[in-house]
Amino acid sequence: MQEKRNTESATDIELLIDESVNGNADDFGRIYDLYVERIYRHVYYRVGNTKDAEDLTQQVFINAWKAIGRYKKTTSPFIAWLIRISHNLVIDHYRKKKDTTYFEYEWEIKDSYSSPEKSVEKYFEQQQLRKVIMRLPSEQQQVILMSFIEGFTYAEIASALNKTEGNIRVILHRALKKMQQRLQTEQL
Amino acid sequence: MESIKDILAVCIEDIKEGRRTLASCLAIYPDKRQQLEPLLKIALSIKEPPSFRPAKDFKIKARVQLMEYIHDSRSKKTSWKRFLRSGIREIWHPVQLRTAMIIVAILLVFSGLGTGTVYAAGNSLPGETLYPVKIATEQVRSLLTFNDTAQIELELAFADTRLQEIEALVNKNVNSLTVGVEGYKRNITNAVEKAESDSDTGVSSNELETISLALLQHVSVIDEINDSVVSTGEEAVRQALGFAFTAQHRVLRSLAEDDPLRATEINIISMQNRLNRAKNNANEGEIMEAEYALIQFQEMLKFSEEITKIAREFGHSTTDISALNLSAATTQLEIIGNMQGKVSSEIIDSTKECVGESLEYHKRESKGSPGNGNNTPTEPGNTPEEPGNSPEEPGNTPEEPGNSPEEPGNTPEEPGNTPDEPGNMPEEPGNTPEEPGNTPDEPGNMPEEPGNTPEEPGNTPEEPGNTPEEPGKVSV
Repeated sequence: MQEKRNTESATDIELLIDESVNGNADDFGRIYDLYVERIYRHVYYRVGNTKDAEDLTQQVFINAWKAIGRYKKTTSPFIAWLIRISHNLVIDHYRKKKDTTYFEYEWEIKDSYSSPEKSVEKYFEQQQLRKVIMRLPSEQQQVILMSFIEGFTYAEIASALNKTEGNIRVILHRALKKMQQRLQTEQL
Repeated sequence: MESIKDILAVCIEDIKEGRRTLASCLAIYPDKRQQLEPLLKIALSIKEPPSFRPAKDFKIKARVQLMEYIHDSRSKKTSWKRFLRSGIREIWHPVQLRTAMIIVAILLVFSGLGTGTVYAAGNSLPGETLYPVKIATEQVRSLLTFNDTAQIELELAFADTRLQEIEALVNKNVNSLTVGVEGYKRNITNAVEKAESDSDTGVSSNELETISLALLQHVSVIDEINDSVVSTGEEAVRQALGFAFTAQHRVLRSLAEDDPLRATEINIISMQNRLNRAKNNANEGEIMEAEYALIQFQEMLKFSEEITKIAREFGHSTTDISALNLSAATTQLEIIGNMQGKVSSEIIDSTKECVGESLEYHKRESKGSPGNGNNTPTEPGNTPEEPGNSPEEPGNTPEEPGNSPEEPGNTPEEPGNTPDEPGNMPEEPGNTPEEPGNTPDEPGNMPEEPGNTPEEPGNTPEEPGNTPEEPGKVSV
């Protein structure tokens, strides 16, 4: 059954979405199978711990089911719609916590670099980048993550966020400038 | 002349696509190098971190809970339909209902429908024109049966019919299939409620056992139906399976009050069936199904402790009950061990840990250790097990007692997972319906969040650099 779920073609996915929009829970279950890992990864990047990532991921799909009847196809892929829901939930999650303490990632330091020192250095570099990203305004965060972590094109991001590609370029530029300023400040 | 934002965007895309390198991009725009280089370096250093995969247990549990949520929300939405179909029984007084149904029966027989129609309806499926006649006929038969045991058997026979309907509809029509599943639930609930009402008079052990054995059989049938799902119906079939398990536990709880040993035996058969299913699925490469069965096995294992507690509360000896569970554990561990390498090690480990904990629990019970309430004056024959003589002896199992497995995944009780959580309510104001994730049903949206509407200032190319910090965002 697992294989069956993982071999869905683009057309199959379209059909699954159509059926889900029509209220077919089984097909929505397959959409869950297809996208749960990606949504989890996105959420985990932002909350940095398993417990919250699991809670929020589950809630993303519940919210998606609630809203699926109003889903309209755009030029952006369906996953972008789910990521948008994830984004809103994460924002809400932090807002409810009120506590602005950052969670350090529960990341393993992988020996994928030439030396352990290099691995540790890369680990801290990514941690620092993540912190800076998480301090960006919501929309800039979203564009940065969709572009660099999720790998969407500008056109896809624009469609998902209901903006023009020009808007996205501006937001991206601002976000990187802000990151640059903050990284410089932290290094001083 | 191109602006820095456009150059930056083009360079990022080109580098990501492998069309250019950082150096070649900078070489094209020498006058912008000073601004461009640091931004590009930051952009290219943002990488997806490794090892971000959800636990398999979580994926399965979250899926099951999602499907349960969908089902529950659907049931609430269609409650008025259920009222018309079957809820009448719950609302009307039984005497009124019986009278009404007898009148319906008489009308059916003497009306234009006649016996031919009623006979023809017998083969109809949910969604077909004659199906309501079939259900009405069944209800009339039930109402005209005055012996409690016969009524229970009748409801179980109707439940069998529902399973046949489900089998016929799987892969075909999901809405009709759901009707069949709802019907199955209704028939089982009727049977259980009848047996439980009899249990108040102390005569229902046989009836409860009959239902319990029927449910064992139903689970096997539903498993087979589940295996035959290739397109639609998986969620509905899983609902039926989940309901059969829940009903089984309810029946065994009642049975345990009178005959806990029999309840234990049936629960052990149920566990064995789950393990066999997990083993067969694992051998056939159906990993998710195998893991799902193992999770169900773990729940049944925990339930065995509940049966023991009920037995104790009702003044029964728990020694034999625990001895039965201990003897079953040897086979269980052997089967689980044979699945090593075929399913994820996490699920194998957590299952073994559950068996280990269960072993410890039942060892304490069988030895009648003080404080567990097992040495009551009514149990003079509670002799402790001779240490070293059972295969469950500490040291013979891989599980260290006290190492309770972390339950990955979310339970419905956990905060953040319920649709009723504050902040996740459909009533949350300020959400615009056009946006995905910002619909009135969508939690987590901040109406005041700038940038969620195209006309929001600060997001147009004309005003670069003027974005205010957005409210409600994380700041350190």
